[in-house]
Amino acid sequence: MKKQNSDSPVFELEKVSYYYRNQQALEDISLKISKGERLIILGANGSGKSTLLKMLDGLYFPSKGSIKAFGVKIDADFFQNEENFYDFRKKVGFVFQDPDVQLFSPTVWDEVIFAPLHLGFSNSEVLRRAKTALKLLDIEHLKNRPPYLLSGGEKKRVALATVLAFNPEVWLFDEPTASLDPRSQSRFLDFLDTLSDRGNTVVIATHDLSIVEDMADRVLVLSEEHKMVRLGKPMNILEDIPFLSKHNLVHDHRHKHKKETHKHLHIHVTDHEHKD
Amino acid sequence: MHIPDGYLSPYTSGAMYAASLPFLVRASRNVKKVLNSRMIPLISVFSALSFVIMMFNIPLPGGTTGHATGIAISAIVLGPWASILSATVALVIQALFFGDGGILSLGANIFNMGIVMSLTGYFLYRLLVRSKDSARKKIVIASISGYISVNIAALLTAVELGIQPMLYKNSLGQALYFPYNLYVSVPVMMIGHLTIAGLAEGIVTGLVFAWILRVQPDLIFSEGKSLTSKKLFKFSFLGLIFLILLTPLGLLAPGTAWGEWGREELALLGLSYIPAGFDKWSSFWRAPIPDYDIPGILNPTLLYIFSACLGVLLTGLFIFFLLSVINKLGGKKKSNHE
Amino acid sequence: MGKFFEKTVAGIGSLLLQVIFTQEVSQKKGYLQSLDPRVKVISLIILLLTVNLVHKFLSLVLIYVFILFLAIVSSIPMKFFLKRVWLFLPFFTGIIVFPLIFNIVTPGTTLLELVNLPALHINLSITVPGLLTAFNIIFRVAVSVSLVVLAVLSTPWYDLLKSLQVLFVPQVFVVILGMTYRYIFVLLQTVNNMFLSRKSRLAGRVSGRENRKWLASLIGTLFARSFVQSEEIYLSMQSRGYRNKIVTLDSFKLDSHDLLFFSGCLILCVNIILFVK
Repeated sequence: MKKQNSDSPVFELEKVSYYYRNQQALEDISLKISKGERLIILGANGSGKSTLLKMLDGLYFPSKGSIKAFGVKIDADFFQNEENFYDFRKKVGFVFQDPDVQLFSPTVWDEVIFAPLHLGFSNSEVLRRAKTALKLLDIEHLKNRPPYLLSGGEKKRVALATVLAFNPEVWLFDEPTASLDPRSQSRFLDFLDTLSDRGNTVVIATHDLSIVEDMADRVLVLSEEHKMVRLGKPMNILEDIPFLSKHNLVHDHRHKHKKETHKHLHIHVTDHEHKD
Repeated sequence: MHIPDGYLSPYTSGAMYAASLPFLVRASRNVKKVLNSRMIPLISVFSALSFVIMMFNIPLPGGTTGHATGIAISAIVLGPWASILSATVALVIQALFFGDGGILSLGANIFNMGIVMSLTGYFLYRLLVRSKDSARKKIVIASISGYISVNIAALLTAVELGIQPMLYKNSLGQALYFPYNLYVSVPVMMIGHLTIAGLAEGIVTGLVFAWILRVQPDLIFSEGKSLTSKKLFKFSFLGLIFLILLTPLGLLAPGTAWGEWGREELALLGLSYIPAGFDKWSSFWRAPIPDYDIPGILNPTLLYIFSACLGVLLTGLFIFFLLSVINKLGGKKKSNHE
Repeated sequence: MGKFFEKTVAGIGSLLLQVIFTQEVSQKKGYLQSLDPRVKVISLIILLLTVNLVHKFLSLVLIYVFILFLAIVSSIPMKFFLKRVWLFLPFFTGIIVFPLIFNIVTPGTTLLELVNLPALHINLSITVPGLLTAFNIIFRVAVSVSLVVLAVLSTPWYDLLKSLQVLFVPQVFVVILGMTYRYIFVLLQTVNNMFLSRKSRLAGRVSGRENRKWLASLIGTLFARSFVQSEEIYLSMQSRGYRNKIVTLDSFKLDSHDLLFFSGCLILCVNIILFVK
């Protein structure tokens, strides 16, 4: 991987589309994410948020368009190169929505050492990093527990520790607040603040509007047709109730709309725009 | 069908481990080639599923319940090689952590259920099914494949158990491991499996197959090209030869007290509770045995091997015959429907 | 909702309890717990082989006494340990060997005559060699099971798993075993939830046919979900640096206690095989 250019954005998406088994999952997304930014991707279930995150993490590759990370195009060829693979993986961390997917090892300890071990850190460094991660998240006592004996909140914290152990620059979160109790949620928001203070780039996919106002510098809204329908400041979007309702992000005024073509949708959005 | 420790002599157990090994190696190579790095999570999750299915009590017609292994359906859905691996992993976990089946006898359990059931389940299905078959017929075929494959596995288990008293006794001629010979072990095992366990397996295989066919047909494993009958014949032939070779493997071990294994008393006991319908089965095994003391011509070891071979062959032929009849009937049924 | 429902839920429940209980016992302080799991596994397998090789009842008794001694010094709850082996064994092996005790199966010195009608050629009695043979088989099975239970109760399962590598089990297979064990619980949780939600929605009797259909859809759902889940797990492994090669960190260390235990077991087994048989 080429030396990172400090001016170039962390991610740069150009007209990215993605199809899964001939079904559209994302359509024509163009976006820049700069270093230290906090971006929230809003969208209803099935709008393609998770897919977008997985593309940012180099797990899926665009069917059309291209993605650059740290100024270099990432595609299957890029990851074939061992050096590129490890370099990218060390920089970008992903916290999956379902902790059961993230926690696949026999014990919490095995889970936390997995990333540093596989990313090629020395044994002493692996131990140091794992211990620090457990300590920072206050879960040292869970070290020898198997993941199936953990509560939901504990699982989430362990999932964070697995990523914290390799301390990536960029953190991607998929539905991080789903099924968290209020106390765990506020703890998680503190954790996000710490990341931001340290200058980490944070991208969160969610449909939970409650964290948008505090946590986002910018908000991207995906429609149920897998298109980007808004990109802007959180306040403007949060106050636009009809818009949120249309995209299934608030519950009350859910209304279906017929199959519409690409063009119509944008007109539709502006029609619905709320005026102060 | 899980054989616990203490039922098989260590020699038989060793032979069964040895018999399983080449299949496991072949299976992991095959699966690795197809799935590459995705293999680890895929096999893990499906092994877990296999384990969970074995825990279910299946409600059977008539109000009873029975367990199914789910191995036939996973062979049809995942393909035989992935199914061998996932069933093996599930069996290892059952033996290691939950005491279901022994550690020394694990090789035998892997062979009977993991390997033989996966292969027979899959190949029976592929042999009988045609791509233009109606969904209904495919479901029936899947179900039959499940029923037959679990019975073949049970038969193998019964044979392994039944040869123990023939091979291993203490100096007083008393059984050390499983105490009954083939006359007893085969009919007793088969009664249970031809009825309850077979039914449970058939039902699970058929119903789950129907569900997948309706909801997510793209899950079902296909090798692209359909199985040619020549290839299949070759495979079943090799399998049969292998089975015949395997059965007397235990003979290599230093057994004791050969002369006593044809005891009238044991035969009496065994035959006294075989229902009329199973006479055919037991005669497969019995037929050549009463003549074992033809002096000087054949020794008991050779006769034993001979009778085992004959048994395997006859069973195979019988199943083949049964299947072709079913296949013909199924074909007619289908044309009536349309 | 029927027997199958109750039985399955009860089965899952007892499995989970057993797992939690085992986990607790295996982390107690005790002799076997302090040993290197690899040494422990090899030693117990040598014992298991010996149990299955020997012929005499005395050999089995000697080994069983040794097992009980190990259980005591490893603070294994005795009541549980004995119950786990002896409560269920008679139901399975006991029934199987039961006919052996009669003269029609095992002729020999009569111990107790049950029926004797010479006119009808009926004579049923319990014989001494019959009883001995039956008990010998039961005992062999019981000692074998005890050994496995002892290993499982005194070793956290992930240590047991890692120690399999010394038995020439390939590393990939060990990783798969670990992951399987983990996902059994994820699936069981799903199953339990689906059973309970069905129970809460249904009142009254449901036909066996309906139950079978529902069970099939449950298994089918699990199949489909398993595909999705395995794909996601693969991605999450990749995301954390997995590149077709599993790396593990082994921290086992052998010391003199381990060697002492191993040689003790070996000497016991060799002596039993050579001198008692």
